Amino acid sequence: MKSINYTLSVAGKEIRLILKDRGSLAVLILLPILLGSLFASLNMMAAGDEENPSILLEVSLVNQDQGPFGKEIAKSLTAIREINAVAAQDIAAAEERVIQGEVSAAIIIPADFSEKIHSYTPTAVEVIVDPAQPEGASIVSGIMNQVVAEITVWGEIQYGVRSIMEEAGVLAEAGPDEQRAIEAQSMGVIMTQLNELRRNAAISVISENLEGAQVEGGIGLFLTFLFPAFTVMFIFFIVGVESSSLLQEREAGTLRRLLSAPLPRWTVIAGKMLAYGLLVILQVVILFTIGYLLFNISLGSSPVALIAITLAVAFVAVSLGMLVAAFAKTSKQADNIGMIMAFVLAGIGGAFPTWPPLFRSEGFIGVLSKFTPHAHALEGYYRVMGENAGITQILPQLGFLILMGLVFFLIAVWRFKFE
Amino acid sequence: MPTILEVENLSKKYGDFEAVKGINFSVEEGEVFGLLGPNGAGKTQTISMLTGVIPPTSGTARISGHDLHSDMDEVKKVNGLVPQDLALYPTLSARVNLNFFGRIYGLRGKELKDRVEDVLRIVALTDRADETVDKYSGGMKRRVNIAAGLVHQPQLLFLDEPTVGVDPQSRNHIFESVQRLNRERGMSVVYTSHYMEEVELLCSRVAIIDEGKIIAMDTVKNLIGILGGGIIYVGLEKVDDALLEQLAQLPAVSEAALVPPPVMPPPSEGEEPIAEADPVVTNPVVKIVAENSQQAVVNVISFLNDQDRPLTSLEILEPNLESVFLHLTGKKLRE
Repeated sequence: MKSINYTLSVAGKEIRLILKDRGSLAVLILLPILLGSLFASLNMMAAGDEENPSILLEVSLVNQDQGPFGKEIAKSLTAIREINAVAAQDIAAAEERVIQGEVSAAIIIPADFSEKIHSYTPTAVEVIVDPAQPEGASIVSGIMNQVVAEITVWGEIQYGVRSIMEEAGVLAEAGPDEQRAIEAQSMGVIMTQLNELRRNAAISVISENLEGAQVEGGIGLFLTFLFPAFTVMFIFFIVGVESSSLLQEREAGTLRRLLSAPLPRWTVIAGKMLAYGLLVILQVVILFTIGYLLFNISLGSSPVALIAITLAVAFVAVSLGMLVAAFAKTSKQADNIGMIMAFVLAGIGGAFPTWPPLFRSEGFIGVLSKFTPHAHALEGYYRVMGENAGITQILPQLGFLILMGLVFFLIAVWRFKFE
Repeated sequence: MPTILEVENLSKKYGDFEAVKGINFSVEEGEVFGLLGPNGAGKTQTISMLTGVIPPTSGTARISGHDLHSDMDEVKKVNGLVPQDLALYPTLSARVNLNFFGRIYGLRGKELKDRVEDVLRIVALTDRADETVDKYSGGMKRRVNIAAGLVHQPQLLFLDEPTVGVDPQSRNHIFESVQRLNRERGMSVVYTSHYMEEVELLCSRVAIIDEGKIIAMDTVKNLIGILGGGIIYVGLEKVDDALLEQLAQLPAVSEAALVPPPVMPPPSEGEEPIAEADPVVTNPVVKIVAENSQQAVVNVISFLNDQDRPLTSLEILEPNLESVFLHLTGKKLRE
C-alpha cells in the first residue's frame, strides 16, 4: 500500500511537470492532431477528385445510324464524365475539328451500324484521333472500347436468342412483326435480368481478413489506418521526453533527494512510467476522437479490444523510454536518441501512412517491421478498427507488445544508474 | 550527550579509486558538526553513503541507533538531506515542491500542510510560496532547497555545501536558519563546506577531510591551536640547516622548517630530460610556526637583517582553519 502511495505521489508530481512543459505537449499532442487532420483532409480531397475528374476531353460525334445501337452509343457517351461529345454535321466537319486541334477525337457511327448488329454482321465504330494529342486519343479509344463492349454483349445475346428460337422453330410460323415482338420480349426479359444482376450480383467479390471479418475499401479504410498510424508514430515520441526527464532528475540532483527518502527505487521508475503512460492514453483518446468526429473513422466493434491494445502500446512505449534512459549518458543524448528512434521505428514498423501498410508487406521489409513494437501496435489497431476484430483476435499482438515492454522494463531497471 | 551518528571505517571505492578511505567520526545529539575539505575530498561521497543514496564499499554507521545496512528505511526517516545541487523542480512552485517532498516521506493531509507552512516560515518564503521556483533568486532557491530537507522534521540534517553560489544576504539567512534549527529545535547537523569561515562560525567540532581521509578532527579552537599564533612564510636567497635552527630559537617562534620544493614531473616520452637537479634550492621558503605572529615577525626580520640575509618574500597567515589545512596538507582549501 505504501509503495502504491509513493508511486502515485511520483506520478502526480510528474503529471504536474508534464503539464508545465508546453513544448513537449505540443510535440506529443498538437503536432499529431495537425498532421493527422492535414493528411486526412488531403486524402479526402484526393478521393473527392476521383468523383469529379479533372480530365475533360472534347470529341466530335457523327451518328449516321438511325437504329437503336447508334442512339445507345451516343447516349452512353453523354453519360461519361470525362468526355464532352458534341454532334458534328458530317464526317468532314468532324475531321476538320480534329485537324484544327479543337477536339481530341471524332467518333463516327456508320449508317448501317444497328442493322449489321441485328444481322450479326461485323461492323465498327470509327475513332479519328489527333496525333498531336496521343494521351487524349488513347483515353477516347479506351472509353469507346468499353462502350462498344456493352453493345457487343447486347448483339451477342440477341444473336443467341434468335438462334435458339429458330432452332426451336418458334419463329417459323410467325410474321415479321410477330417475330420482332417475340424477339424483343425475350431480349427485354434477358436484359432486365442482366441489369438486376449488375445491381445485385449473384457472384460478388468480398475482401475478408484471416478471421473472416469483411474488409471495407476506399478512403474510409485508409483513414482508419491513417489515424492509428499517426497516433502510434507520435506515441513513441514519448521515449525521448520520458527518458530525458529521468536523466534530468539525475543531473539536477532531485533523484538523489528521492533516493535519500524512504521510498523504494522502483517506485520512482513506476511513478514516471504511470504518468507518461497516462499521457499516451490521452494522446490516443484525443486523436481517435478527432478522427471519429471529424473524419468518420471506425473505432471497431470492441471497446475492450481497443482499450487493451492502447494499454499494451502505452506500456511498451514507456518501457522503451526507461530503456533509453538506462543507456543514455545525458538528458540531451536521451532526447536525441528518443527522437531518432521514434522516426526510425515508425519508418520500419509501418507507421508512416502508406497504403498498403508496411507491416502487412511481404519480403525483407515486412519481416523487419515485425521486430518493431509499431508493427504489432498497428496490426492490433487495424484489426480492431478496420476489421472489427475482438480481443481474442488480437491476442498475438497484445502478447508481443506486453512481452516486449517487460523485456525493456527489466533491462532498464537492471541497467539504470540512479547515481 | 548521546551520539546520534557513529561512523566506523566507512569507505567507498570505484574500481581502483578509493574516494573515501575508512573514515571514523561521531556526532552528538544537538551538535553542529563540520566536514571541511576542498572539492573532491570525499565529503559528498560520505554524505551520500550516510543518507542511503549510494551503498558503502565497506564499513558502517549507526544513525539514531539504526544500522545503515540493516535498517535503511528507519535511517532515511531520521535523516534529512540538503544536497549541493538545487534539487528542486523549477517549473513548480515552492509549495508544490515541498508538498511532494513531504509526501515521499509519508506525510499526508493536515500534517503535511502544517509541516509545509512551518518550513516556509523557517526559510522566510511564506509570502512567495506559490511562485514557481525558476522565478526565484539564487539565494531563495537555496532556501527552498533547505526547506525541502526539513519538511519531514529530521533528527539529523545533512547540509552539503548549502551556500555555493549564494549572495551574502542569503548566506547570512542560511546561517541563521541553521543556528535557529539547532538552538530552538535541537536538530543535529552535519555541515560540509570548503569555506572555513562558515565552518568556524557554525560548527562546534570539525573534521578536516582530504583525499578521502580525515586528517584532523577536534573543536575549532583546538584545531586552530595547532598553529599557535599563526604561520609566517619567509622567502630567502639561500637557506641552510644552521639558519633554520637559529630561526627556531628566536623568541615567539616555536618551529622553523624549509617548505619542500615542488616536485618536477618526470619527462614524457620523447621529451628532453631536465638537467640534473641542482642540490642548492633556489629561492627557498621557510615556514615559521609562531606562538605570537606579530612578535615573531619583528624578531625574524631583525635577525635576518643582522645576518645580512635579504628577504625575497614574506607572508603572514593568521591562525584559522584555512591555515590549519595549509599547515596539514601543504594545499589551500580552494585550490
